[in-house]
Amino acid sequence: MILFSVMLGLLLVTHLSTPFWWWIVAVPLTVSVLFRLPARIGFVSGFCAGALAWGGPALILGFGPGNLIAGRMAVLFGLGHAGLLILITALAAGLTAGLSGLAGAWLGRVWGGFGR
Amino acid sequence: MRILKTAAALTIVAILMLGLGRPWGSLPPLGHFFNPFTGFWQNHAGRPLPAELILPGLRDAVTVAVDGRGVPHIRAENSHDLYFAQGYVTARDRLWQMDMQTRYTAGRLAEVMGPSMVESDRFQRRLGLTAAAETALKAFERDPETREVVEAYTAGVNAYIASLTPRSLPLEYRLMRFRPEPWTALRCALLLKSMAWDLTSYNRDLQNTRTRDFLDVKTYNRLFPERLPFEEPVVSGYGDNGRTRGRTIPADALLPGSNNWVVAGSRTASGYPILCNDPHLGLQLPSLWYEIHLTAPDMDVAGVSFPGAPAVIIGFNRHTAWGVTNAGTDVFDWVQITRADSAGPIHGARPRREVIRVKGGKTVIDTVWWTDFGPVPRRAGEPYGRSWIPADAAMRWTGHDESNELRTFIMLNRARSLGEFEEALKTYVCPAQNFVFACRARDIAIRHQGKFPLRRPGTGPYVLTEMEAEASWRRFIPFEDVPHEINPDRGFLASANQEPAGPGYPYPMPGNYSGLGRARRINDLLSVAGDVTPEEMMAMQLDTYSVFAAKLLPALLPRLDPSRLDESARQTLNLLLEWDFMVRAESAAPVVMDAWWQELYRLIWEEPFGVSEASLRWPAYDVTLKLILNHPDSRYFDDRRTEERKTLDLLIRRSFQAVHDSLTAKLGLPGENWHLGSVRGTDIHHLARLPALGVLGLQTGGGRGIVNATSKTFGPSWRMVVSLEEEVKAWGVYPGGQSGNPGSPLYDSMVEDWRLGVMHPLNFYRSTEEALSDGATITRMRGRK
Repeated sequence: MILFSVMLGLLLVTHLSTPFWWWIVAVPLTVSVLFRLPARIGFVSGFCAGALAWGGPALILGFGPGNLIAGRMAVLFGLGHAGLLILITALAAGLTAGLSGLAGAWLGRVWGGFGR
Repeated sequence: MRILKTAAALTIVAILMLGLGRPWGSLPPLGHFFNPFTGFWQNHAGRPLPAELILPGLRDAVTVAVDGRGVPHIRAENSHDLYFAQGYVTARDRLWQMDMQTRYTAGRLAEVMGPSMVESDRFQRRLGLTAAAETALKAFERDPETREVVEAYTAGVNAYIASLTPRSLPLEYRLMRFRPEPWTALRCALLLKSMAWDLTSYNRDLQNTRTRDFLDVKTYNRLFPERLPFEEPVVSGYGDNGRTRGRTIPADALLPGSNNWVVAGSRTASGYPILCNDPHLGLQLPSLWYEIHLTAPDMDVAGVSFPGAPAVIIGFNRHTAWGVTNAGTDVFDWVQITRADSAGPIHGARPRREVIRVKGGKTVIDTVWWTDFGPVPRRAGEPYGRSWIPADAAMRWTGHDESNELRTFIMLNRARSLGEFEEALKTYVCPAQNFVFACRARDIAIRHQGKFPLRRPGTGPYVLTEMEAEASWRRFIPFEDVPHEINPDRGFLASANQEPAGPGYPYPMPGNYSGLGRARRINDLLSVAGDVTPEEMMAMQLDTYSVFAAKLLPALLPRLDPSRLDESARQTLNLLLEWDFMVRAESAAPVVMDAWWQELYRLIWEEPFGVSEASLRWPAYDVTLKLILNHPDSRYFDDRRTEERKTLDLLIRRSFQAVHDSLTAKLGLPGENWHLGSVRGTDIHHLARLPALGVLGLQTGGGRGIVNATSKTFGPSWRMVVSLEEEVKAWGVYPGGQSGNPGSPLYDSMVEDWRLGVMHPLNFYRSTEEALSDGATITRMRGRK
């Protein structure tokens, strides 16, 4: 839970202060490596943090001031409905962050990390 | 094993990184695009102008009040700040559109869109539009006021570009993966040249020349008369002295157009003039027009502007109002160059090297040859080219001449009287327009204004030799003599792209003029109107009566024997028998009428000309109509290739049956699916043709030759009615919205009202307080803290 919060916090800070999207990979990977997380925890924390970090704002915007743009992009990408676009944003971010967390966890085992 | 697992996982992550980080076909990099912190989600609607804004470059305080429809009302202390703020707010709403329209004109799309745009770019450069804009820029710089206006506008646009962050980048830049470069004064000139080209480039001189050479003189003169039948000139006051000085190759009735008219105080309920204008242009999103209200110590003007150019183009101030329709007069000739080696240098011509940079491809170098007449867009033997462009011919186009049209609009923006209106128009060159004018002092006027060559009679519609061109383009019709009329007895003035002057007009003025249709209907309605109100004028802009059909159908129907039609074809015929000639969205008759006419026209002319209309001109609709009305036994109706004698009656029956068969095959039996709104309707496409960003399938009536000239992708791009009372009142609507951001409700907020014909009162606030009490949001801009 703590590590999930660390990941989410780091994701929000990095995303808000820089324009780069790839923190969604870098943050879970690094945290998992540094803290030598078990694979399952690495994946689950990464998935939850990623899904929340992207899905949360997407949800707030998608049902708020961004409902029009979300609707148009849903049509553009052939998804039909903004809700689906929000769901896919959350899932894709979650999976990307989860896989990064998993890879980080395994890498941590190989490399050693900070140890437990 | 562990190492292997780790390597596999890292590989998957690396693939994810690469996959999300790179573009896929036309899709942008998805990682970046979907990132809710800086991706498309940030193009949401919640970004109003802040209450305070520091914009280095402003000299004094500026107040911008944005009303409920997103129209900025700018109040500045000096003209520099006024146009600076215009540039800033316009860019804020429409930057990508401004960028793309000028990039397209300059032939610089491949730079941002890749190899697929190289041919489009090459074509634009062959037309010399950048050179034309450079010449215009010189003219801007020669006039201190224009120069200041353009520089201030440019600085304002650049102030906005400088403020852009990854978060505020317009959506289309994200989709197309490029960033705006700094705006330049040249871009303003390019935008004006793109309009000039759009409005004056219709040229079928090559086809006209072929047609003249193909037919014997007698036939040619009969089928291509000097003036269209049923004409209704803009200015009829020249009488008919029997002299015909200029041959007019009639326009395709297909040509789009615009309406404007002005009713004198003697015919209005208020006793003050009413001015109306609805320019018909290609419909697009973001819209071609941007509403704005500009106030400075010597200026208080509102109306519509072109995103990318300063000033108001069509509008009104506290004293006057003006509007435009395209003149259609021929200001663009082809000059056959004889001193050309095939594909090599042209003697006496200057090469201009064009460098087309290509995103993701090799730079393309092209050479455009410039003669004393103008550029040569197509060389002999070049596979590249368009069918209407003769090989090794130079353009002679008034758009290439040095001129400063912006000055005209700046002067119109603050004109207070008829005299100042005329003064503003004195230097106006291209695109030639019918300017209508009205003022509170109760003067009304119309001017067919532009730079018109004083041609040798008989030239204009045909490809010229160099000698002919030299003779025809030496002198120009003097300002005093261009067709114009002031305060006529009949109490109104109107134009709808038709012939500018009656047959007695002393100069040849060939052109592509609209035939029987809008001009006749407008004149008919206005000539019986009294105590005219603005509401009646708004309704008149929506008029859907087809003058052409009303003349044609009574001539066709008696020649169609219902007993020789099958039962279901008789049902289709009934649609026409019950029709009141109103071209409504929910009416099937216009669909049948249009298809029938097209088929009949084809059956009549396909045989004598033997080829499609693309290579030889076919006679104008009006000429064909006159033949049907006055010479139903004409030999042109017979097909000499066949033994059988073909009569007009036979062609009428065959075309009707064919149209009935094809419509039922396509649409089933007559019903709602035959309605004009469903069969044709209107599509307003986004500039990048992305369906998700367009408004498609609108149920609309109107059409070609109809006052409400709405068609599939074309129509009234702005409707305006101005009543020049003691306190000027105006109404307007355009098929779009003020914001260029597809994520804003103001992107297409006026489309439905436009479709329904609802017009909005145009706010003409006298003070910031008035704007505030009307619910406008206020932004105060300053140069420094």
